[in-house]
Amino acid sequence: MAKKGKETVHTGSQIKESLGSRIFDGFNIIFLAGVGILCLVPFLYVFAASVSPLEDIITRRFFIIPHSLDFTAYKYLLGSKSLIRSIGTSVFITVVGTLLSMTVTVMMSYVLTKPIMGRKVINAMVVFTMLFSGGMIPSYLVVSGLKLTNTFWALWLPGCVSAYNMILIRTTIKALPHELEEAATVDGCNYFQCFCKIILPLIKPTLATFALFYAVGYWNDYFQATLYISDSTKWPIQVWLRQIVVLSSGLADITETGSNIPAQSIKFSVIIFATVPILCVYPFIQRFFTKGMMVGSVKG
Amino acid sequence: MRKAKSAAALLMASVILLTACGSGDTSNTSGSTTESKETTKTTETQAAEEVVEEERGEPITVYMMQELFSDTEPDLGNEWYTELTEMTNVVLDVSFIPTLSYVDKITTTIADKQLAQVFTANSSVLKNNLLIQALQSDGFWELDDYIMDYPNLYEFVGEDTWNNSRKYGKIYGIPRLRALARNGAVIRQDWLDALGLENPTTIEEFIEVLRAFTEDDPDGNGKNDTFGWTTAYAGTGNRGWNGVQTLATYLGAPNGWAYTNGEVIPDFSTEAYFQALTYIKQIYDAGYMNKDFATISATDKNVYFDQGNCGIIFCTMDDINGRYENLSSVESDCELTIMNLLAAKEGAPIYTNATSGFNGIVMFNKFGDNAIETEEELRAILAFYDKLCTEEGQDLLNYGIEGVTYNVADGKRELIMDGEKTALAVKMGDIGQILPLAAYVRKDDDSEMQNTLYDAFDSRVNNVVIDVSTNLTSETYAELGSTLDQIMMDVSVKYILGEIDESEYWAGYENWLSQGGQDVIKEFTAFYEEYIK
Amino acid sequence: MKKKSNENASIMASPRKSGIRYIAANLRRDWILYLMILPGVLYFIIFKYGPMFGLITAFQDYNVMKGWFGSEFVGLKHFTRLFGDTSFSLIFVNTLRLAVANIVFYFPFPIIMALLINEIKFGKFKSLVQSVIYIPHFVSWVVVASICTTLFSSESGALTEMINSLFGRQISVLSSTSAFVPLITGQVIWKEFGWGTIIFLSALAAVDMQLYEAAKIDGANRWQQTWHITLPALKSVIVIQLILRMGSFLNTGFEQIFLMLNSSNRSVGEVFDTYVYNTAITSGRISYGTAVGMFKSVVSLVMVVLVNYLAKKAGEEGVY
Repeated sequence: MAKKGKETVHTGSQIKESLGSRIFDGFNIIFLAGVGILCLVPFLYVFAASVSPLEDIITRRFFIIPHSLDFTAYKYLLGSKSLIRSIGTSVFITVVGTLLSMTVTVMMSYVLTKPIMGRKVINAMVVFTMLFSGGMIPSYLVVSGLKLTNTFWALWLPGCVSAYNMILIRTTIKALPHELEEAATVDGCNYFQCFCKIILPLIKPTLATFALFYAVGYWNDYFQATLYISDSTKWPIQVWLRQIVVLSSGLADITETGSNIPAQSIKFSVIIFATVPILCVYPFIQRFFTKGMMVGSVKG
Repeated sequence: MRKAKSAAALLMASVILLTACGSGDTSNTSGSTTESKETTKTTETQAAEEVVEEERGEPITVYMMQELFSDTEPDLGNEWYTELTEMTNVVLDVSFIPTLSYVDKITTTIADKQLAQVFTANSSVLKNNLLIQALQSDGFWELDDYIMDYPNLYEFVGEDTWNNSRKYGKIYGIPRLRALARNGAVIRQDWLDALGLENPTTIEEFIEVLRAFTEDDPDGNGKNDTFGWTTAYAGTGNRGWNGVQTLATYLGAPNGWAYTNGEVIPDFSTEAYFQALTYIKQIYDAGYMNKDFATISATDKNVYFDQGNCGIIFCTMDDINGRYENLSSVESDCELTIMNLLAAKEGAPIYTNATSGFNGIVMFNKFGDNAIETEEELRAILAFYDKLCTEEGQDLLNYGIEGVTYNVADGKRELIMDGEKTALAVKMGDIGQILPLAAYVRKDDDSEMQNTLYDAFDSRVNNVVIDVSTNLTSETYAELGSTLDQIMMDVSVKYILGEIDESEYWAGYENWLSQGGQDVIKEFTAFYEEYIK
Repeated sequence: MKKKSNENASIMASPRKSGIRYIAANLRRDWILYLMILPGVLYFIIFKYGPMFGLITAFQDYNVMKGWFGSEFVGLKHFTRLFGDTSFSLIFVNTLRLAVANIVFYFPFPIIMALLINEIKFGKFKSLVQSVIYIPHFVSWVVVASICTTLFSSESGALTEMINSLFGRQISVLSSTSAFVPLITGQVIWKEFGWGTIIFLSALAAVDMQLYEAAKIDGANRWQQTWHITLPALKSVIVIQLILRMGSFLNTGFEQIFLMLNSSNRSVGEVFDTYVYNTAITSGRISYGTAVGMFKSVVSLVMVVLVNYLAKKAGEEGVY
C-alpha cells in the first residue's frame, strides 16, 4: 500500500529513508566519532607528554601533538632497575595468575553443568558470595593466617575465581549441544578427556574473552599488591606508578625536603608502560567479545 | 617377609645415615657455635668498649623498614653500603615502603607479627592503635638503661631531645634530628632590593612589604600581576608551618599548645592567636595574599611562589633550597633569603615556633618473627648507631666515599653530582632517614643562601617556643583529633574570609570545647602533670 | 559404556536414597568431576567463607599481642560506637551522594550510547566505535588517577586552564570538595560506559529483525520504531541492571576513590570502604574497622534481597 507524504513505501527490500532520518544518521555518526575521540584523548595526551621535554610539559606548550621530541623519560625508565623489574614482575603475576584462574574457573564451570550430587549446594554457595563477603579486614587476616603475606600467592589466591565469570562460562558450556559429549563418552572418554578434547576447543572465544578479563584484573591490580607485599623487589608496575605520581604531584604531605623527587616527565612513560601491554593483547581478543559475552549476558 | 626385611634394612640404613650426618653436623655446629659464640662475645665486649678489633666475627644483619620518598630503591650492594659494612660490621637488609602506605604497612606487619627489627616511627605511626597496643604490651625495647653506654650516640642526639622524645615517660627510640627552629618564611631578596626595602623586623614592616609586593610592581614588568604572600590552609597537618601558627607565635601565642596557669591550653583559645587571624584577615581583604588559600593544597601554594607570582612564603626554612631550584628555572636571576623573625612591635621579644627538634623516632622491635631477642643483639645494633655518630661515621653519611661521591679540590670536599641529584643521594637512597643524621650539616661547598639558612637555625635556638603537646597523649584527641582540628580550622578560615565575625569565632571555640575539646584539655593537663613535670 | 548410562538412568530415576552408600556411590562414579571441582570449592571455602568467620573480630577488642583467642569479647560495643560516631552520618551521606550521582548520571549513559550505536548502518564504523570505547575499561585505576592528576594539576595540568576559564575562577579539581563528586562520576563514565554498552547491545542484537520490517510496512518512522520495539526489548535488561546497581549502592568503587582521596577532599570523599581501610589499617583499629565493614556488607545484602524481591513482585525476572 502506497502512502503519500515523506515516506514512499514499497513492498520488498527497497525502502526510502526520510530526510529527518538521514540527518539523524549524520549527527549520530559525528556524535559517536566525537565520543570515541574523547575516549582516546587522555591517552594521546599522555603519549605526547611522554616524548616531550620537561619544559614543554610545565609550560603546557602542547596538547595532543608534541611540540618537540625528547626521549629522556623513556631512557630513564629503561635505565631504572626497579621499574624494569616491576614490569617483569607484572608479567609474571599476570601470566601465572591467569593460567591459575582460568584452570580452576573453567573446570568448576564444566563440573557444574553436570548433574552431580551436591550441585545445588555448590551453586548456592557460589551465588551467596556474590551477595555478601567478609570484607577487607577478615580477608586480610585469612591470608595472613595462612602465612601467605609478602608472597605472590597473596596476589593469586584471594581473587582466583570470579563467581561472575564462572557462572557465565557455565552458561556457555551448558548451551553446547549434548550429542557431542555423548558421542565421545560412547567412544570411551572419561569426563576429563571430554573436557579437554571436546568442550575446550568449542568454547575458544569464551576462553579467550575471560582469560583477557582475568589478565586485565591481575595486570591492573594495585591495592592487593600494596596491602600484601612489603618487599619492594616484588612490586608490580602499578605500585611504582602510583609512587611516582604521588611524589611528583606532591600528594604526599612530605615535610621532609625531598631530594629524590622524580621529574614531572617520568610518570608519562611509566603510564604508557603500565597500559600498553594490555592494549597490545586487546585487538587480538577483541573480536571474541560479542560472541563470548553475549551468550551469558542476555540472561544477566 | 622379603618386603619386611628390605624395609627394615632400609629403615636401619636411613637411621644410621641420619645419625651420622646429625652427629657430624652437631660436632661441626657445636664446634662452630662455640667459635662463633666466642667471636660474637668478643665483638660485643669490644663494641661496648668501642675498640675496633682486627679479629671480627661474621657481620650481623639488621632488618630495617623505612619510608621510600623516591621512585627507586638503592642497590644495597653498592659501594656505599659495602663501605658501611666494612666500617661497622653490619649488613643492612632494608624494606623500603612507599611513603603513602607506610603507616598501613606498620599495621599489617604488626598484625602478621612480621614487623622489622628496626623501623622509623613518624608521628602518624606513633598514633597507630596497633603500635600503641604493642607498646603497652612490652613489644618494644626501652632504651633508657642502654643509651648511656654509647656516649657518641648520646651526645649526638643531646639530652634535651632524648627527653623530648619520651613516650609515656620512657625512651623508646632514637629521635631523628631536625632543626629546632625550623619554621619560618622565605622572602625574595631581589624584590626587596628592587623596591628599596629592608628585610622586615616587625609585623608592621611585614605588612608594608606585603603591600609593596602587591602594588609596587617588584618584578618590574609593568603588569599588576604580583602579590605578597601565598599560603594554603586546607587540611590540618600543615598548621605548624603554613603561616598561622608561625604568625601567632610571633605575637606571643603558644606554639600549638602550652602549659599556662595550671592548664594545657591550645593556641586558638588565646587573644594573641586571634590577633594573628585578624592580621591575616586584614592582609586577605587588602588582596596581599592568594584568594584561594582555603581550598588549595600545600604543594599548590608553592606554585605561586615558584612561578614568580608572589614574594613571601611560610614554610620549613630548609624548603628554601627547593623553592630556589624551581624558581630559578623560571627566573634565573632571583635571589632568596630567610625572612627575619617578626616582633609584635618595635622592641618586643621575638619568638619562633619550634619543631620538637626531631621528627619521629627509630624504634627497636621486641616481638614477632623479626624481634631483637636478646640484650646482646640490641647492644650490637646500638653500637652500630654509636659508630655512625663518630666523625668517621658522619663523614660517610654526609660525604660518602672519596672519588665515588665526593672529590677534594683546594682542600675542600665537593659532592659529585649525578644528574639532578648528588651521587651520594643516589647511592644511599632514603636510608638516611633511619640512620643518625644531624639536623643540618654545614658542608664545605655551601652556597651563600645555605649559609644564611644555617645561620638562622643556629641563631634562633634562643627564641624557640615549644609545643608541649608533642609528648602528650589524650584518648579523646586520638579518637576525635582530626575532627576537632578541622572544626577550629574551619572557624579560623571563615573568620579570615569574613564569613563570621569575632563573636562567632569565640562561639566556634565554645563549640570546639563542647565537642570534645574540653576533654582534650583535661587529659593533656593530667598527662602533663603526671609524666612531664 | 551402555551399562554406565543405564546406571545413570537408574540412579536418577529412582527415589533419592540417603546415606553413606548413596554418597559413596556418587563419589566413586564421578570422582573425576569431584577432583576437577575441588580446587574451586576449596577456594570458595577458604577465601570467601573463611573471612566470614573472621567477622568475629568485629565483636572483639582485637589486641594483636593476644591474638584472636586471647582478645576480649565485647559484643556490640563497636556497633553502638559506630552509630554514635559523628563521622558515621558524614560517611553515609558521602556514600549516598556518590551512589545517587552514579545512578543518575552514569546509568543512562551506556543505554543511550547502545541505542545510538545500534542505529549505525555502516558495519565498519560501528565496530570501530565499539573497539575504541571499550579501551578505557582495560586501563587500571592507578592509570586513570595518574592521568587525572596530571591533567588537572594546578601547576602544569593541561586542562586546568580550560576549567578555570570555564568557571571563571581558579578551581583546584584535585583538592576541591565541590569538584570531587563530578570528578569521580566523570571518571566512572569515561572508563566504564563503553564496556557497559555490551550488555545492552547484545539485548538489542537479539531483537528479531522482522519486527522492524513489519513496523516499517505499517508506516512507523524511526522514532516510533525505537519507542515501540527497541525500548521494550531492553526493558528486562535495564531492570536487571538497575537491580544490580541498587543492590550494590553502598559499593562505591574502593580503589578508584582510595586513589583520589587526600586530606583536602576527605570530608566529601570518605565513603564506607575507605573509612574501613582508614580505621583498620591506617589507624590500626582492627575491630572497629571490621565492624564498620560488616555493617556495610549486611546492609548491602539486605538491599539486594529486598530489591530483588520487589522486582519479582513487579513481575520482572530477578537476579537469582
